[in-house]
Amino acid sequence: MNFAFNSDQDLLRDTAARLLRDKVDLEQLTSQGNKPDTTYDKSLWQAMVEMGWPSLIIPEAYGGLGLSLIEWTVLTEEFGKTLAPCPYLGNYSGTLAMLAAGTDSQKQTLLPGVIDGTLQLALAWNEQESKEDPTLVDSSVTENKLTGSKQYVVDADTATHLIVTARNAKNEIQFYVVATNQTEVKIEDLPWMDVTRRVSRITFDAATAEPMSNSFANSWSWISDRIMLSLASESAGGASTILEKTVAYTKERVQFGKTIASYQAIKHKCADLLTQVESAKTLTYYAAWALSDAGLDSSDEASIAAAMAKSYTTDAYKTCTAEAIQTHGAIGFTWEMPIHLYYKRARANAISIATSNQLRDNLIQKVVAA
Amino acid sequence: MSGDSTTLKPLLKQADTHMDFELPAEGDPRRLEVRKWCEEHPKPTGMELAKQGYVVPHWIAPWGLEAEPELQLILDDELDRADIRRPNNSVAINNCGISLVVHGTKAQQDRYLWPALSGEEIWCQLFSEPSSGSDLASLQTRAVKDGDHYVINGSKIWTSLAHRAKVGIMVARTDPSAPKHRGLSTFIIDMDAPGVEVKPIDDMTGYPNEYNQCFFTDVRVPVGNLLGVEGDGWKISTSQLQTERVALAKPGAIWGTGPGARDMVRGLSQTEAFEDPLVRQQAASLYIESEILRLLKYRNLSDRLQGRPIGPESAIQKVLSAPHGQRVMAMTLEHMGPRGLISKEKPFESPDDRDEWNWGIWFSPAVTLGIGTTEVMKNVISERLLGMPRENDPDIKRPWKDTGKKKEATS
Ligand SMILES: Cc1cc2nc3c(=O)[nH]c(=O)nc-3n(C[C@H](O)[C@H](O)[C@H](O)COP(=O)(O)OP(=O)(O)OC[C@H]3O[C@@H](n4cnc5c(N)ncnc54)[C@H](O)[C@@H]3O)c2cc1C
Repeated sequence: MNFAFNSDQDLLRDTAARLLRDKVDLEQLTSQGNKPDTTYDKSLWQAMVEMGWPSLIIPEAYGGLGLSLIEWTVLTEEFGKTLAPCPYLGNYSGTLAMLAAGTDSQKQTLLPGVIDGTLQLALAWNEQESKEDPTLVDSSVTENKLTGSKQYVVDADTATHLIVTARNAKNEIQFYVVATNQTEVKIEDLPWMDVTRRVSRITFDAATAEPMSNSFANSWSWISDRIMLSLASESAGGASTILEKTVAYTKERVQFGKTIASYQAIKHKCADLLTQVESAKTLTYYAAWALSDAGLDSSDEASIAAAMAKSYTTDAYKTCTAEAIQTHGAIGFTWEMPIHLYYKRARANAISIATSNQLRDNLIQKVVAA
Repeated sequence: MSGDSTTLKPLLKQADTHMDFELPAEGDPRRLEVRKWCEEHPKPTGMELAKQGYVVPHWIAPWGLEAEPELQLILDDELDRADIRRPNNSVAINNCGISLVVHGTKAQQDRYLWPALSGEEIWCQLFSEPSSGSDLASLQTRAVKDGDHYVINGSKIWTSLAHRAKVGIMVARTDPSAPKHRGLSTFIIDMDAPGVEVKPIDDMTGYPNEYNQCFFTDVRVPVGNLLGVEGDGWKISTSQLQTERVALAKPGAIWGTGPGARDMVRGLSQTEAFEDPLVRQQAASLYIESEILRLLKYRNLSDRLQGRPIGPESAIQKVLSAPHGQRVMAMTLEHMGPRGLISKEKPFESPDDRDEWNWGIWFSPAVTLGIGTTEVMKNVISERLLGMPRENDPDIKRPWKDTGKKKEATS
């Protein structure tokens, strides 16, 4: 029984925190009147590549750092604290799909580029306007030509290769590798409200697509559980930072002759938020362990842990960011205060991959079946 | 989306860090030793359990085994498996007993601890008073020294188990001229002594009474029954409220005991309730909360195992668990429909749940009050963990005799 991080993991956390503090400048995004449409700062991504972070979980056999999801969780919690505007999430999702479904030769060809930063992946699976259901797939591939469209693809516009779900000749869903430098691939950047993350719509018009080996049915839950873990840990990080900033503000802001931190309505609200933040972290660390433990690796128990972490943590993030605005008063509602960046990230995370309602619904059925 | 992804197992590195949520294994020698004892003593008496160190394994010898948290877990597990229950004497075992180990004289330890741990003498906690609840330190019960005795006058209220108790641990005021926290002392009271009167208070459950009001009229307590030294009462009583045994048993809805969210989910799954998506949502949320509580206990345990200072999880666990228990009971009651209003009706077809559900449903309003109210705990969290300003207490520095409480006491 041990809930603690080891000293290497603590060191990784410190290193990440320091690098992000140096490299991320949210003020650039929030200076009055500056509503940028291109927000990814290349130097942040470059620095991350140099640290080996995009390839942190890629096994050493392919030249990656070969670390576990616990290290990944430490790292992404820190990403979440600063929002880290860079394509890590899309690249991580694509990497998971490559690891889970790629042929050995695809891995040999693409992963070294991911590791040295010359290539970048993204995962395109969603085709529906409002449903997060990965089996609603109309895109299809005939004779290695992909036709169809995908919605809400994270980090597609900077990716060199997309991992795409589409129906094969047998009408089964399969993963394909699609290079983005073809004229048959059209990537359209969406005016996404969370300006710290880039999201696209993609159309494929007989684009060249190379099939991957492991089936979608065999690999999707493995992939999506691990994406949900990342969303959970960055949400836990974001929520804790926002609470910290909010508590600090209440100790400065004076109304009616005393700091607003001395009002019990504010104290109790902050105590409630801390309860949620600590609960979120606890579920996230547990999920990180469950998904990286040999015994639980592919079990329902690990999936349940991921679902609990994702649903609870993103809900808590939504609450914390909404209460942060309320507690700051009108200044919390300005573009200039970065709270809205976190507020929007929270809402985006909450509907990514699966909604909390969907996850809870699945969870109760799994618990009952167990 | 439940494909069989077994083949993906070796893709990522397994955690070889020391993070670990497993309980000590089946073949653990410590476990086998306990199991052997249980087999040899299928129906142990309370005294046998106590002498074996199994009642308070975390205490020092001779009462305990100085057991680290894992051994405590093993013991809980194995006693549970052998269907052996520890003596039911929670005030002594979970709260006040340890004070005798830390602050008691040898004579006090010899006289009181074995009968307490074996369950032969029930203890009660004489803290709250009619005018002093959350603000315990403002209490009025007086202890005045008279030769080799203290003479006690006053009244205590909400005292669980006082009607069955032989021993009471009391906080009383010995120095009215000191500020309220400093003039208090702790006494071991013989509940059968002349001048002690216990009156049951019926509570809203309608079940046999939980708590009582106790009146003390010129009760003479030997000086040998003062615990620690005069003036230490506050220190001793607050440390009692904080000593909590690690218990990893299933998180029951009522102060950690009785049925909990898992039992509710299991019960509901045997009905048609889960055909309603809203019921599924609500049940899943409560299930997740109960998992959070389980994991917070693990974090707490892990801190102790690593010898780290206890983190925020312990206060958070407390403030989360009581309202969670209420929500579990509320959902269960709602599931029952009108039948839930019938006395002693059971929510689920289950042979072994006795009256626990029904009692729990109606007891649940108390769990956010006893052992520190939710509001007071939120004060503690915001002040101690978030560093927000303390609540204003006009009495904190004044001599107690000059405060409003003193006027109340004499009027
Ligand atoms: C079932 C049960 C068993 C009990 N058993 C025992 C026992 O064995 N021995 C014993 O000594 N006591 C016992 N108690 C008493 C318990 O410790 C008290 O109920 C508790 O300390 C609260 O005191 P009170 O009831 O006087 O409420 P009060 O302190 O009067 O509180 C009333 C309300 O005011 C709120 N409040 C008070 N102060 C503040 C503040 N500073 N900020 C915000 N809100 C505040 C409270 O949260 C509460 O909502 C028991 C209580 C219950 C319900």
